[in-house]
Amino acid sequence: MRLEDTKKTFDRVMHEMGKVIVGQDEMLKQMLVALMTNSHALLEGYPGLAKTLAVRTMSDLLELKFSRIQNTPDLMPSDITGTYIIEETSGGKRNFKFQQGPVFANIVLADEINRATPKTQSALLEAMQEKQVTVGNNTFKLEEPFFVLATQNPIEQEGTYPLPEAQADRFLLKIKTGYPDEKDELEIVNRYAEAIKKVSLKPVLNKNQLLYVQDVTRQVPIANDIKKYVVDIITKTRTKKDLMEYGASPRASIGLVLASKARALLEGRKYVSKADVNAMAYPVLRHRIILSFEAERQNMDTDAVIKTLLK
Amino acid sequence: MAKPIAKAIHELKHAMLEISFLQCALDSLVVFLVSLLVFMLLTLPWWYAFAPFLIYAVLHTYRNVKSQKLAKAEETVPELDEQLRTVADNLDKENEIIEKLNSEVLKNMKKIRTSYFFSFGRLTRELLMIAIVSFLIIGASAYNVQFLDFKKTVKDLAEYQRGGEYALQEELLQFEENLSDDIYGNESIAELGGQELQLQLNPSLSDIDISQIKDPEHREFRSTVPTDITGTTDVSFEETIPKGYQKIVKSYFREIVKTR
Repeated sequence: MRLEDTKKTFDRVMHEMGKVIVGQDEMLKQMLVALMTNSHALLEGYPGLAKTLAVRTMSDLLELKFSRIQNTPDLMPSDITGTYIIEETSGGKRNFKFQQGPVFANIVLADEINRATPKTQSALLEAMQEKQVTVGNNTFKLEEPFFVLATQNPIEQEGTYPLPEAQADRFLLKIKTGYPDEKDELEIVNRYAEAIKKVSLKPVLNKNQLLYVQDVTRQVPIANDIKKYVVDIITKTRTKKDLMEYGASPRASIGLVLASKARALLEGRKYVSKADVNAMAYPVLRHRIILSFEAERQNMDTDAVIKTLLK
Repeated sequence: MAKPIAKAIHELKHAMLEISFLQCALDSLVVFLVSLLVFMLLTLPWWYAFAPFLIYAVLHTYRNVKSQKLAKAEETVPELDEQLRTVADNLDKENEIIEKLNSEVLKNMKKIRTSYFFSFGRLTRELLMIAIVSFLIIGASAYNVQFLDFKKTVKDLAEYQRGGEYALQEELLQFEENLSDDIYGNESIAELGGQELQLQLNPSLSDIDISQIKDPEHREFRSTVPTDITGTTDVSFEETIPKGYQKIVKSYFREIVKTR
């Protein structure tokens, strides 16, 4: 794969995904940003907005090992990481053998992550951070690339275990999926309310190509002015006490620069623009700031507060 | 060997700096000429004009040089927006993507013209102003035009503030307090909401009859001293101690000082 082909490849990914997903271009782009930066993303949206379908479609387009974890309150950490099982050899000898869990894949869809207990969430989040799994005395390295695309529902909070801020910080992006507009919804109805047509998707990216894209993403140059702008935004989240009780950590600065680089490459640019930073500030900061009482009193949501930080 | 893009950026910065200095020199010259004209008309020494000129030149040049950033060049060629700064900040790095960006920027940098950094309207206005002010200076010098003798005005003002010339008669400035119960106007018009207002006005009488103020009298003093005034020497300060005793008295007081 060559640098010139990067933009074409992403256009093809978007085109193929467009065969299945309608009216969620921004969500798809942000998912690609997470893949390009070798990071994880949390998709939040109401039921029926194609969050799970988007992740499944993405996995079809990438020639990567995919697994899905449907989170429930009775899900155990070993159901994610894997466990030792007793295996009997032909000679009648019994040995312990490690049975890998669904986390041993390249793309892991953690559906409705907030339904799992904090203990199970922690097992997954540890794998996300360290990119390795420790079971008993043994540590198993996870294969690169490794992404977790988790989904959660902002409603029906009863019986859920919302991700603590520290754990939500492991996700580079919190992608909000909104309702499609009227035109797109009509297209969805036309496409899925009639005869079911099997959509054939062609894999666009293989593992090596993806690793190359990840490498190129980090190489995208950024001007010092833009870096300062990023740091300025993140610092403001800590100093604007009237709107934010807690601000973002330096991890957010790194994440915002990386995400902006990925977006620049997606847009076919070889440099980071201020527009990239402004666009990526929302998914990067959404889950990293806690609004103050004053902001809530003014009926401001997280996105409205982030908007006040951008020039 | 320096990269071509590094050379190009260096040249661009150099050109921008030169233009900036030229602009500053012209601006400062205008300030100097205007100051010179003003000081001439106020009959102040012409070299006083160097003070505002130097202050302005230093501050203006510092501010202008500081604001000379590549963003200014990017404004002139929109194709270079944010790219020029990115390239300049990443000159020390080498990778595939930066090399490609460098070659693209280098190509687009050819579109930059030095003339983009000149504001010809401003330049024309300044040259015109320099010409006009120069003519005014020559004219004012040739015909010895002076609007104000600054030094004399300052001196007069100082004297006026001391208040020596206009001595007013103090008794005319006195005022009396009128303690009568008179109320001016009709009581009925001072009613508010059916209630009569109980007002008492104590007007002050502080009239000054300006017609009684007279010009200061001119008095002449005679320069010769009258003959009936004589002067005598006061003998009370003369020392009457005989010379022979003076030594004894001196040693007496010296001993007193020593014993203290």
